[in-house]
Amino acid sequence: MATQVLAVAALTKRFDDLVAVDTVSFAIDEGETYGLLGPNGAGKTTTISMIAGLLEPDAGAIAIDSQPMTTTSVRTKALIGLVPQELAIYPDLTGKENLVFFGRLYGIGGSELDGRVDEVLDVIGLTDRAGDRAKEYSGGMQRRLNIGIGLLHRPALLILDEPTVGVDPQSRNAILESVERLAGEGMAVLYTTHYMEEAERLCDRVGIIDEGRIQAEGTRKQLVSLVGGEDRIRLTATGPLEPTADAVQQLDAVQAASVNDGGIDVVATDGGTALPSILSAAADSGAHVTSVELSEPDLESVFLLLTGKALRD
Amino acid sequence: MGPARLIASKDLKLRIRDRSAIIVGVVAPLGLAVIFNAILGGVSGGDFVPAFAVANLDQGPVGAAFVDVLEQIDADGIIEIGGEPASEAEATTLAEEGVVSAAIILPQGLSEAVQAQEPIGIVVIADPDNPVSAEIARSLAAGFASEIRVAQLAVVTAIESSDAAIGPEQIAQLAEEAAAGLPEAISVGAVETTTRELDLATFFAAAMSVFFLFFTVSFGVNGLLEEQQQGTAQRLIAAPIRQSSIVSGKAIVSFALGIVSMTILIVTSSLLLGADWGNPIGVGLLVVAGVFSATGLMMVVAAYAKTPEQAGNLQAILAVGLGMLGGIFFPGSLGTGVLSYVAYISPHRWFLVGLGDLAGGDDLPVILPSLLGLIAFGLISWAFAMTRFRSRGIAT
Repeated sequence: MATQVLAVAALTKRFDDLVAVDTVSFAIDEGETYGLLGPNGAGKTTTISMIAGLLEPDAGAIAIDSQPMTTTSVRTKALIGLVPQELAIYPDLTGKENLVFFGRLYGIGGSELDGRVDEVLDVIGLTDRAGDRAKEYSGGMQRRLNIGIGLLHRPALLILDEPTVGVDPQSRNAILESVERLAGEGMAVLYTTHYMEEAERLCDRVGIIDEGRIQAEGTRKQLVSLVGGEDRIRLTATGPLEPTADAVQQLDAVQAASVNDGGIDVVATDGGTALPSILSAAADSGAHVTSVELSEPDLESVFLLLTGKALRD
Repeated sequence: MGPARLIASKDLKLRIRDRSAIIVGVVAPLGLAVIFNAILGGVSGGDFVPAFAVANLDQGPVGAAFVDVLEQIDADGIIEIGGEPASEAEATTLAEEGVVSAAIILPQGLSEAVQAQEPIGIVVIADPDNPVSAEIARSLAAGFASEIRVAQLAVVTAIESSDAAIGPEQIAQLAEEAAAGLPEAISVGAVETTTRELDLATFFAAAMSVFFLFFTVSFGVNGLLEEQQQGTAQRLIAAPIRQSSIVSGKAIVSFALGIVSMTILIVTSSLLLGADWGNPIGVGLLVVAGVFSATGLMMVVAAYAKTPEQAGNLQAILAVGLGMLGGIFFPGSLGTGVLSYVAYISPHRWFLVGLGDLAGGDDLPVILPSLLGLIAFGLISWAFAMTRFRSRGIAT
């Protein structure tokens, strides 16, 4: 039986009247990658800030390797590797100096530190540029260094907060491969993203979070089963999109419809059969449909069904 | 290496790399001290000796007497006779070329004119770049002329009060007696300062050092805001260290930069400007207390500011305001008015007063009030700053 690395129970955080995180609970086992999937502002970063000991929760409990975590838990913090969403590196230090500094901060020294720095530089593909100042790196290289710092002390739990935002496709792929490799080596990973494809590719389990609450949790298969046999239909259209979405929503076969990015996302039973009536309703509402995309159920469909919103919102 | 020292060591490396701390901490204050000293060096200061050229075209007893007076003052080290040109043109050239600060010309026929009581003038040609020296030359000439006038009056009075006719020999004897009865022609006393004031070079070196000290130490404490701005503060707070280590690390940087900057300035100003800082132990204690005080005050600003830019602006206002209040631009005392008391809400004042006390040649205990003043500033500031940092979730 896998060892539980992280246990979060009824975690709550308020900022004045806003409940940013509302009784969130989940757990992560050794070697498991857990995804927190939700749009911007859903509460992902606040949740991981509490788990990393940056913020004190108003209620609830966090345990890492059975040790409680608070903002002053020095020992527990050593078990976590944090990769913040924004770059957190010293631009005027070299890549190697950045790693050495944070390695020492985690109590690593001597030949052990040298070995780990070389190892991490290899993992993040920066061995050849280790002596260059970080400000001379490309955006993707800086992102990789940002991740490398979180890995250096071999944490029990690696927290990655949207690590691929603003990253070029090549670096993004390198980051995803690194995460897969680390999970394969037994590290527990908490990965927040609003990219459905990343969650589907990396995560053993996913918690869908919106408005500070976990709306659903499970493996991809479990979550998709929530949608049942529903298909996702994407209409790219012009004209009055909101009234069109409302009209489409009224159809018996349609479970959810919402306007996103110049089009309408629809979750419908047996999409192929329902498509003619959906297009007819759209035309009746004055919308001009320029393309139609029909896809099997996925996490995007689940999110749309559960929240009535698209992940891109 | 402890976390605080580790953070400090990283920050010092960054500060040395970007050279900003060196410029603000050493180059700027030393440069300003040199400039101030050069501009105001003629106003006062122990080594100020104006050089005059004296062209005695008279060849008579009056001209010779004035030259004697000037040579006496020269021998006392108060002025320097930098040449005895043979003509007015030559004297003018010496003054125009700045070889001397002023040229005093005793015109031909001066003695005869004095004896005949006819009007005649002593000419002073001044170098416009040395107005103070020129004024001294004019004063010397005016003083001599005034005393000749007194002697003339004494002789005339003696002649007119005499019933008998007076011949030239008797007139000469009367004049000699009148001159002998006069006080010493011109008296210029050397100002040997035993007061608790610094000479100009030392004052400006010390004033600029303590003024820029406040900017130098801000590099350390503002590092905390820079960490927040560049996102690394999150990593530091998430690291397995006490959060107070982060603040301590920044304070160590401020302290180290302040001490190093002051030490360099003391040594270089002593060597280059001839500044005399006084008893090294006393100076050392004042520097440590001053750096402690400056770090505390700048940390309060950093604790309340939201960005490094905001902190920098507020710190500059505070440093300039306290500096002016403390009298860093005004050598000497601030008088006895309200300002002289208000000045003590500035650590700059305590620092300069402490140095002044050392310059007075007193024993070390005399700087105790200044040390206590500076330490009090530091302690109160640190208390405010730490309270604020705790409320911001740092230094818990």
